[in-house]
Amino acid sequence: MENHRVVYAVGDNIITSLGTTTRENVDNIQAEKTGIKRYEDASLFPEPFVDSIIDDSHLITLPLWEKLSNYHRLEKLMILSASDALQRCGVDASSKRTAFIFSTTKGNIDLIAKSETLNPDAELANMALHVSTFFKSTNKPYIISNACISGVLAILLGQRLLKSGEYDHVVLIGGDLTTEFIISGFMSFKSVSPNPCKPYDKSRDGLSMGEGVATLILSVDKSLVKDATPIMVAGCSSSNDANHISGPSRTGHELHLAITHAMEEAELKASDIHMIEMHGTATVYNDEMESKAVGLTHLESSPLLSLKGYIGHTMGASGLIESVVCLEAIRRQMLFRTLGFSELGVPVNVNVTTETRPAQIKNILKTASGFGGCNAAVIFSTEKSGNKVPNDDCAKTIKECVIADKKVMIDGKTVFDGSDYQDYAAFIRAAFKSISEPYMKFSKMDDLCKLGLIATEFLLQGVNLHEKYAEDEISMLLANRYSSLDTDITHQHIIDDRSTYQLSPAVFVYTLANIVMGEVSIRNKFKGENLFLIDEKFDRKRMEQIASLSLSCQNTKVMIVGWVDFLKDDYSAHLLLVEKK
Amino acid sequence: MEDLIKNLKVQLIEELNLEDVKPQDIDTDAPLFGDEGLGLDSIDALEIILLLEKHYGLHIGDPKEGKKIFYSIQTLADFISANKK
Repeated sequence: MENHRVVYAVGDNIITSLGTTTRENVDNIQAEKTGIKRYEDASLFPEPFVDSIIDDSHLITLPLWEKLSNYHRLEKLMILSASDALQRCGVDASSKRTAFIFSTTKGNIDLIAKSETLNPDAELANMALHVSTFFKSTNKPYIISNACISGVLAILLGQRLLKSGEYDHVVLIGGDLTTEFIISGFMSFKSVSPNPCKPYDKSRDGLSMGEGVATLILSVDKSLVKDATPIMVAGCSSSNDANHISGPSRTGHELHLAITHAMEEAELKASDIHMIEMHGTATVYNDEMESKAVGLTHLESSPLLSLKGYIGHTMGASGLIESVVCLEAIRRQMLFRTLGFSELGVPVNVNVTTETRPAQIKNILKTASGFGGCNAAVIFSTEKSGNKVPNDDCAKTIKECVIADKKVMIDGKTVFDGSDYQDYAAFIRAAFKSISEPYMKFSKMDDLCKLGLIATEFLLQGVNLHEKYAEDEISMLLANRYSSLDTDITHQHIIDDRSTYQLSPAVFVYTLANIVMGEVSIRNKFKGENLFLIDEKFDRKRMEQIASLSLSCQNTKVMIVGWVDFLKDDYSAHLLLVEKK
Repeated sequence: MEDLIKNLKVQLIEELNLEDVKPQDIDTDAPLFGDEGLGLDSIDALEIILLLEKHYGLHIGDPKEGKKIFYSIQTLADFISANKK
């Protein structure tokens, strides 16, 4: 293996309300056009709402669309997007040296509407397989479902897998749709603006939703690069606020940590950052937090922009869509205006863009933040390639906790036997009481979070990680099969009944699987990296490899790694405490 | 008023899933939010808005309006008795 493998951006595509190619999207952004508008569609929401929705009539004329009648809408869009990107760069999707990485929050969630039985295609692993198999991929896909930072985490994972030598090319595909599920949920949070959103503005009053799909292909093969000046993925990191599952950090310290680690990997200082493209959702607290993180990193003078005013918040796709726009900003040497912004309304005096103009751009910082308190940062650069050499074989498991069949086992020994309890709810309550003082948040959690929290409590019994490690050196990597489907179904039942329509934010907030990492992080003050994956079953070898990547190339020193799955009464947890060899 | 306060406590426990809390544990005048008292958070505030709609037919459009009203059980009860039709 080479000592230093460089990761290049070699192909991309974006499909949103603004177009079906990267070029079309960015031409419209450069022309300051927005795809956000008012919709009246009672099948999506009982009242009019603002959104950015892909017009399928632009797609059905494409020859490929006709061949895809057996696929669900999101899968069709993903296939169209990846086909376009693959054609442009000539990467062999079927090669053993090529991996697919998907990023989505809800996948084919529209399939659970008004349904008594669970359609297996609502499982994210099946969605990913449909798409990767279309391209004759021979490797099991990686699926990231980590709220609104999923797209940036796809780049992070792809960069590390390439640098470690595991693959030579990665095809990153992100996508999420506008559905009744998502609209009603954000409405219950009262976080949606009645108008197109106004990032960082004094009068901002919430986000605009949007749907979209993007593909970004990364490779270590420089000969595939089409750009005159190659663009490299120079640094990536993630963090957790350990503060609240839906509200962002009040200090911005944790996003600042992720940015700092990414900049260190890229060997760049604040004055080298020519553009920052942030999450910029236009909610009061998100934008406030971001400005603080920018201040803590001394990046106040770097031009800062949010693209949400053009295409809305595309959730699991946003990190990839916005990153591809960043690449295009470098190619075009153009800085884009933050649409919707006019007067600064955040506590730190950041340099929000107010016009679209030519600029010299060599290094871009892209960040994202999401529910579960997660943050991620990535650096695109034409100057730097990153100084870290991730290694996929440095993880050492020092302790294990398994929860199944009403039993808790530590290193194979039963430490709590709840066979006498009649159901999961009684068992899990008793298990928690056996090990912990009362914790107010526990009873509010959904069953998946309770399971993950308890497994962590048992795993860490008698271990004080904070004695040996700083908060941001403790990271989490979890996976499961059913994502948050158990709570998704609860939320869906609420919206299926239009006669009552009692939307509950306390239910909706748990419709993301990574919230379990948020709850564990809040309870234990873990502020290190975060990654939530979906898989058919607990693939211990793969999980230990991915943990190694974090242990070897970021400041992670110890990790909680494993499996936490819950659907109806089918549950299991298997957590590992992992250190560096 | 006493009945209203008693009912409110029961409804709060049920709607916010405060499993281990009993109505008599809730101090009528103690702050509901923040680190003291019940330690409720922003999601709970949204759920209380729903509770007011569901049980009392009262609407609060802007969560920010709720800050004073939601200070304690007493302030909530005062708001309900002043506004209930």
